[in-house]
Amino acid sequence: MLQGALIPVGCEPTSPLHRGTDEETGTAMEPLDRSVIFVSIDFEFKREGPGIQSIREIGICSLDTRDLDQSSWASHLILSTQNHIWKQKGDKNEGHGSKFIFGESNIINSR
Amino acid sequence: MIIPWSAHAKFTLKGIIETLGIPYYHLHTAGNDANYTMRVFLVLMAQSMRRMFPESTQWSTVANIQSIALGSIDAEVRNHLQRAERARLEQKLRQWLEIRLSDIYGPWDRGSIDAPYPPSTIDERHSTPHRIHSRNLDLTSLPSVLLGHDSRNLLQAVLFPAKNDTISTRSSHSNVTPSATLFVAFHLDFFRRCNNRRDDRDFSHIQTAGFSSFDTRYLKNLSTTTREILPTKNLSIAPNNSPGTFRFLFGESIPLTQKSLIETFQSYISQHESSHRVILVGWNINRALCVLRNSGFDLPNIFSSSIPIIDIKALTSAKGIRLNASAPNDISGLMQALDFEHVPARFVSEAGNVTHFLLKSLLILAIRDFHDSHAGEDLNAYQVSRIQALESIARTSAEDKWSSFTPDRLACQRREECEALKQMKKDAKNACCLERPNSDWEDNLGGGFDIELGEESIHDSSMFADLFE
Repeated sequence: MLQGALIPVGCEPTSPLHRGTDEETGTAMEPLDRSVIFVSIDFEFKREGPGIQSIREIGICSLDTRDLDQSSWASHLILSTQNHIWKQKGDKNEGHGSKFIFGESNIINSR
Repeated sequence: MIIPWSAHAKFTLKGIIETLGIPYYHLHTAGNDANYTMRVFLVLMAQSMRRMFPESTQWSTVANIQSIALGSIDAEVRNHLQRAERARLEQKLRQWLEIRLSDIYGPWDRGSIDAPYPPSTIDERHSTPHRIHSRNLDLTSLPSVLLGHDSRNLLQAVLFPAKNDTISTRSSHSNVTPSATLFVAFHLDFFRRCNNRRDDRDFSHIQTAGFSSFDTRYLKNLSTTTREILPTKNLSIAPNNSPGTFRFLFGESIPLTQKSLIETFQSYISQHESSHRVILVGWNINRALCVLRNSGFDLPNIFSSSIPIIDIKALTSAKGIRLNASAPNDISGLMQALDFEHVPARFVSEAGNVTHFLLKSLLILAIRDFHDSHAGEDLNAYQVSRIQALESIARTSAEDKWSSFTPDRLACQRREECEALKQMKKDAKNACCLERPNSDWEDNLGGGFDIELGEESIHDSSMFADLFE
């Protein structure tokens, strides 16, 4: 599985899809766009009763392999992280007390 | 894949990131965990790349990916701490500001959606009222409530009109020649044990609804009693059963249904719109309007956009009258502030009574405002008589006596007596029925015998006669 993930980050130099020549004309072909976006999702649940859970938070972190071409490799520029807090009726959490460290949490109001 | 894995390490995200050396802070927050998961993925990918591409040409990419995964989070943590500190300071500042504003403008209900914040002086700078806690409520579909300053101007123009005067209201944005004005006070009272948040209430949470009106034409003729000048209605969810409904002072409660509520609204507002300028009055009235809207009432049909709405609470704040800080929504605080001390608090819990006293409070506030604006001036005879007339309406007690024998209670007693009488009659009738069976039986037997026997009976009797012979 990880081997497939290595292609978008430019680690398959011998692949004909990545860099090759046109067999008829012999000219160099443009590399195919094999860029992908890796998305990591995490959920935090709230126990509302025996056997009953509801989503409390949704975290999404994405890595666009096209960003790996840029000169800066700072993690906060490469990894885009979001935190969404599901605020239900009666919840007092306004997001101020959120422990999300990679930015401001987004509050989703359930109607 | 070469990962120095401890046999004792738990197979959890925390165990993995500690094993891989990924910096972390505040686990079990979804966004943070997603970021750390991505970093774990990158480390594992870097490990695979090292294994798959041992050539040194690929190692720069591996190093870069690993640097992303193992990158420091100090800056993020620092920013996070700064945000938290800023939020804490903002909270403290907000609390401090509330205390200061409360000192200056009087108590102010934080939980109220319609409490002007701060009262009129700052609101006037905005074209629309700046309200707190309006984020969760859509107030755009509700008729707009006049600000305290506009309410005062409107009241002065309506209750103390000069000759050839015109009235300008903010809501209508038009000058109207003053004519008869009908103040309609409206109030909703909710079940005390209602656990729902105030914003989520609907018709099912209403216990009583009250209406009271004041026609300014009565100011020309005060021969009628206060009760006729301020006709009041109380709609109650269970007028016959709940003891709370016996507290309505000004008549007999009407059963509260959606139909009766809408009909009463129309009887007060729609029917008078052609002949009167109608002004709606309430206490915390946006709350009641929200409940009506949540209950599916077609508010634009009830309230045309030209109906000005005066919130007594906003007016009180604008006048700088201090209410009970611990219970700013409690109308009994207003009654005490306006010297209605003779009104027992238990009667103020009934919506119908509240509307009656709201109109009286409105008149007193208008008188006070008139005195404030004409301080040091000599009042003419017309103004003096007008003040006296308003005072007499506001101060004259229309209540018979402060006892539990309210008209509602008496009516209930009457109903109970009638029902008891009916029951007695029924019991008596049943008793008669129980005593009569013997005679009835005899009658029926005889009659039935006569009726059922016919020629056959005669025939039968002849048969018997033959036998006996």
